[in-house]
Amino acid sequence: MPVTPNEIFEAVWKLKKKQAYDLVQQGLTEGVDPVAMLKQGVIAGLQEVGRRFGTGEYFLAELVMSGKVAEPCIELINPHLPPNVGGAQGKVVIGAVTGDLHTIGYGLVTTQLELNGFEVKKLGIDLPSMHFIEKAKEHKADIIGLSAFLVTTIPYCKEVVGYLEDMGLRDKYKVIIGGTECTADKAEAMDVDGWALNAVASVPLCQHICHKPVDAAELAKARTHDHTWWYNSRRIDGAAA
Amino acid sequence: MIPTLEFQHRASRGPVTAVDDFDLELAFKVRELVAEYEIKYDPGQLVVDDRTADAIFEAAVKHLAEIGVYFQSTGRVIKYEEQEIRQLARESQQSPACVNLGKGTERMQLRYRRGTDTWAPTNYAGPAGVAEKDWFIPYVQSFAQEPSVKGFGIVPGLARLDNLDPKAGQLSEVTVALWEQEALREALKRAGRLDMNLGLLCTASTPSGTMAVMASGYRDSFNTQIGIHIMPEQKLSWNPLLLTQYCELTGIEPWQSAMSCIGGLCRDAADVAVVMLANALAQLSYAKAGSMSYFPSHLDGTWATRASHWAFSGAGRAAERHLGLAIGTSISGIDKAWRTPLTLWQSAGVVVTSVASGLSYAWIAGHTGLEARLIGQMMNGCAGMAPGRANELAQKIMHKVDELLPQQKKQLPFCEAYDVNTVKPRPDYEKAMMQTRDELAALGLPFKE
Repeated sequence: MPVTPNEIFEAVWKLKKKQAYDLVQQGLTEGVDPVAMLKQGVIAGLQEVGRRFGTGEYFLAELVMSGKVAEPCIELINPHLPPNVGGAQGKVVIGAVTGDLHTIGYGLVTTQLELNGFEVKKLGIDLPSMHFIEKAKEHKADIIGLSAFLVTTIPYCKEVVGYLEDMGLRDKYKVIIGGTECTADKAEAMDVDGWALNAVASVPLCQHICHKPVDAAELAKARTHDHTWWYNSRRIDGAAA
Repeated sequence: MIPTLEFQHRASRGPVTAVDDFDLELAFKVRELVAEYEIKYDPGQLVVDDRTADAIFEAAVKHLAEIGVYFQSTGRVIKYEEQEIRQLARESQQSPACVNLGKGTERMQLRYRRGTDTWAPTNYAGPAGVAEKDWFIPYVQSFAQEPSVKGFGIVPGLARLDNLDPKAGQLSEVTVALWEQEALREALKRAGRLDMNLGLLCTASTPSGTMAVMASGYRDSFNTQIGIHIMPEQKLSWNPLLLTQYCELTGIEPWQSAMSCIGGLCRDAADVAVVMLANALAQLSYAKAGSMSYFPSHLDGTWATRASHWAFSGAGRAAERHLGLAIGTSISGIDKAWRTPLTLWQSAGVVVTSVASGLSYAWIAGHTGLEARLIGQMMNGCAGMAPGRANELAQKIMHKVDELLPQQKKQLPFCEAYDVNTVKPRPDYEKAMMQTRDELAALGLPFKE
């Protein structure tokens, strides 16, 4: 009996790392469709983890763990995929700006984006502004994510934007910001491309600014106080929410 | 006692570990320990009993001994021996905290306190949060003019001074912080209390910024605390260690603050109580200070919930029974409730549960002088309240909070609560606060001048 994507899905959301890996390996040997194993197995499993996080059944540890379960599976599947079927929604480089040592918030955004099909490179904390740009170039990123928790570190987000403008790269990358003291007003004043209230809301924001389909329910939620995100309509052509 | 310099060696030689692996180990170890020690969050019992408090202490010691602290600057883990953790706890317990701050008639203490003590916690009520230049001085003055406020645990920070953004580690950090020091001095002068303690520097937070502002002469060891805390969850770097060394050299009381997030790496209040106490023990190992603020919050930044009350009580009572520290916390409502009746209801929940759990000081008490006064009266009234009665009262308060919370949309700006020229509460705001005080009193919460 060949492996089914559903078995991989089950192993991923139940965080059974070895089992998920073995199933993918077996599936590849048996000639199971790699696209189905990726999308209906691994990615659907990650989405289930995200859903359980949303309902309070899973916690941050499970989100981190699910990334560790999925990563080797994806590495196994990737070479077998036809071109342009990676399914990535977009590439994001993300980290905490100069002076900021807080890790939980941007870690959570990373995980939520990964669960929803973005390829995310976590850069670390207390990073020089130029580092974000160098890494965005290196990874051919679509989005630069800047995490700033403190009033005294938020201005470094503007510094990154300033470098992009002065280097003639402003239109090459979308810039999003987040963190406790970051607000939509501050995002607007800095002329960044987007801001989200929390990690869950960062997903529709990134989908939106990458011109990917956004679920209608997410658009509705964006208008509520608890689950809001903001995009810069001056910078994003044809965007509507 | 572990010498401070020893942490340089441990931070440079500990096992190299990926941060995600450290996080997972932390999360799964605390789950294992709360199960082993049978620590269960009980929303029906918000003042934690002796057995649970002792279990939290034991689990926290084991957690720190087995997991250690992640050192962000080197990507290594600082490791501890269980015996040295027990030794530092014993040393702390054998010298109960009495931290002296302020000068002359403004001298005040943060003292080790038990939940059963009949003397009230110190009203160390800082005017917290982000302020604007136009109302910075009246905001601070509103607290300083309240006689029941004995010192400031924290002061506000400016998000912008004219066109200047305060940037950590750059010239503007010091420029804005110096403006704040001048403004603080003016506010204290207007209130006739120049020798009050002013707590954290707020905008100056980097080692270089802190030292520059200290060198300006506005601050001294009698009126300053400096943050040397570990980030949640168990993340340390060179900056807090450098600032600890600076505190040692200058005689400044290090500001220790333990925090953990409910719903993140820690699942619930039981996990958070253990990790928060492990965090406190780790800070004690290098800073060796007498005061410790706890701040259990949810992942979305909210607090003053049943879960956060229980987590504070668990870690607070564990410290009361095993560490001899002066324990503080932030007594206020969540951001959107600031300067509204809900903030007094949420603050009342914090007061009732924390005073019965060994609270020594209110690090923050509301967001105006009037709120600090009323919260001070609550703390006076609740001192010595039996745990059973405190829990019963807390349940009634939380029931009311449940009702009010969904209706609350946004905070009231300071300028709408107070007249910034006279620094007096505006009539509508004062009326709403006094009405809430009467409702709380009718529910059984004692207010005492």
